[in-house]
Amino acid sequence: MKRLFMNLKLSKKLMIGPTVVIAFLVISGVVSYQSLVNQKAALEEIFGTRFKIFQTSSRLIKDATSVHANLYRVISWATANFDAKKVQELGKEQVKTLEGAAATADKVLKTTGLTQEEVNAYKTVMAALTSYQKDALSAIDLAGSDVNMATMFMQTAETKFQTLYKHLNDLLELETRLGQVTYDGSLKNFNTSLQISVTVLIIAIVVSILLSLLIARIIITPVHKAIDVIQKIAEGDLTQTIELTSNDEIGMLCQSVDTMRQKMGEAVGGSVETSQVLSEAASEQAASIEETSSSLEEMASMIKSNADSTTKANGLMSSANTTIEKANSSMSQLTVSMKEIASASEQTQKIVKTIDEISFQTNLLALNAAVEAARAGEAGAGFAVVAEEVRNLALRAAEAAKNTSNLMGDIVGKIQGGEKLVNTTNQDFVEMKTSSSKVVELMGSIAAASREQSEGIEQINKAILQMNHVTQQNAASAEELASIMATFITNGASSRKKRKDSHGKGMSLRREKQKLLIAPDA
Amino acid sequence: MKRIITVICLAVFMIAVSHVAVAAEFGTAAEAEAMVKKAIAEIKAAGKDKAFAEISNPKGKFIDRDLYIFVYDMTGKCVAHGFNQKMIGKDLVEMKDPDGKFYVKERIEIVKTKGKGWQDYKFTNPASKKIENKTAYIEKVDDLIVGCGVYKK
Repeated sequence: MKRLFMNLKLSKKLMIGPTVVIAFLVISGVVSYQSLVNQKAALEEIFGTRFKIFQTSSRLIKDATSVHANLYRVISWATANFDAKKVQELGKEQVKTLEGAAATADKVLKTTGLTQEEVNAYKTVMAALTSYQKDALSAIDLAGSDVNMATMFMQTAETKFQTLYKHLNDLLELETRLGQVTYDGSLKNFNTSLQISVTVLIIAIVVSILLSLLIARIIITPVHKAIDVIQKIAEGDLTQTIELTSNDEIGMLCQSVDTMRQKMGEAVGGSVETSQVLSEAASEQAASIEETSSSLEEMASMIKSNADSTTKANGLMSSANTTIEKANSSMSQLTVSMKEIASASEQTQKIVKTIDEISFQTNLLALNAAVEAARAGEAGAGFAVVAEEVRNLALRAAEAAKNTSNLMGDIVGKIQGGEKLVNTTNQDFVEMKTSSSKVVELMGSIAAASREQSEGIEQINKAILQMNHVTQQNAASAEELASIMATFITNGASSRKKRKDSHGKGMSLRREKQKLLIAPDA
Repeated sequence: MKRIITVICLAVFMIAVSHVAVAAEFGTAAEAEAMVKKAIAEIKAAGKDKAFAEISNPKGKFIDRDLYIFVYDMTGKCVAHGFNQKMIGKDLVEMKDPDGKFYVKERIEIVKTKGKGWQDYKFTNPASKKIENKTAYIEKVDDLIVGCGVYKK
């Protein structure tokens, strides 16, 4: 029962109080209506039936009494020999009155709503009236012809009149009694209805007050619970669960709050972790960016020194170029010198050839001297020896000349080789000069590129600095976020762990909440 | 006042009537009985309707001075009356004479027990129009009571 009640929708719950009150009002209304209807019925009965019958009965009594008195008038008039026509007329009047009375009585008998007692009483009256009517009619009838007989008839008529009168009086009494009974009943009914109405009203008031209090309590209790939990959530504690006690809107609210709490708990738990990760990452990023920045600075200085070196190298290369040019001209001079040496060597060779021809001639002369010494015998023996020596000398001279010639040939060959080499070297120097020129050009462009690079690096550095700044801010924000997130107590282990750390910071919760609220807009 | 006038009127009326009565002749008891027999014979001969008409005829043969025939049924209803036609058809069983005697009831009783007989009561004398002591002979025929009375002086 209570369960069922708890599960009712709030609107229905709120409707219970008024419904009960309305039900009571309906009961009260029905009772009042019934009472009024009863009163109306009683009034109708008293006026419509009792009073009418009473009235009719009174009229009947009046009519009967009048007729009865008039009958005596008829008889006395007849006795006194009044004008027969007049007597007849009076008689006819009575007949008419009696007929009217009978018709009235008959009409009353035919009305509905009569009690059996009344019907019986009326039937008795009717019978008495009919009986009396008969005698009265007879008396009137006979009054003209035999007044004595009419008078005799009046005797029975008198008795019957008395009976009728008595019955009519009884009827009056009965009606009075019935009216009284109806009145008493109605009064009693009214009092009962009044009591019921008042009782129902009191019960309605009490029940509605109690019900209202009960319903208010039933509605308010879960609301308080919800408020408590929401307050806890507001304080950052997302671990509080709401016990569901009803299935109404408030129950649904509690459920939604609980779901919100759970989802928020999960989200916040995740956010806490994420914010920590983010914070760490931001810090790392900041560190990396700082490193990058310093590296870039180093790189910039390196590039600068590189550019300087390149410039220096360029200078050096220029001086090398002049040196190479100098070397080139030296080489040219060397070539000339080599040619001069070569021609000198050729002249030397010619001289050697001449020496060789002389030695050959000497040799021939020595031979001739030896032949002449041999002919001169002993005298000539000494000469022969000289001639021999001369010849040896000539041979030796020839040999030396030959060696020298060979040597000279070698020298010439070597000089020629040297000349070739010098030429080659010369050519090389020329190539070297072109190359070095190119190198100088390249060095220039390298220097320019280095300068540009340096500028680029500077710009990069600026950007990195800005990045660093932003990253620092990011890191600070992430850290702040992490600390804010840590104020939430969720079922996530990490956030709890963090809680202690953040607890010390103890920032104004409200401010943080504001920040939290503002953050997405900012 | 009215009553006084009525009494005076009645007194005058009675004096006038007594003078007339003195002059009349009256029927006797024997004549009355004879007339009853005659009426019975007439009823038997001519039948009820015709006989009743003749009996009730003021100028018929059943009217002789102060004698007249009256016929009742056994319930006390008058079916024929020689003196007063207004009596015919009236239920007179409850009738009392001026002395308070239920003479119709007595009449029924007499014929029921004896078949016929005499009864005394007070009734209007058609001749004098006064209430006088009457002795009537009554006889039962079938379900009818036929009677005729004389007035005693």
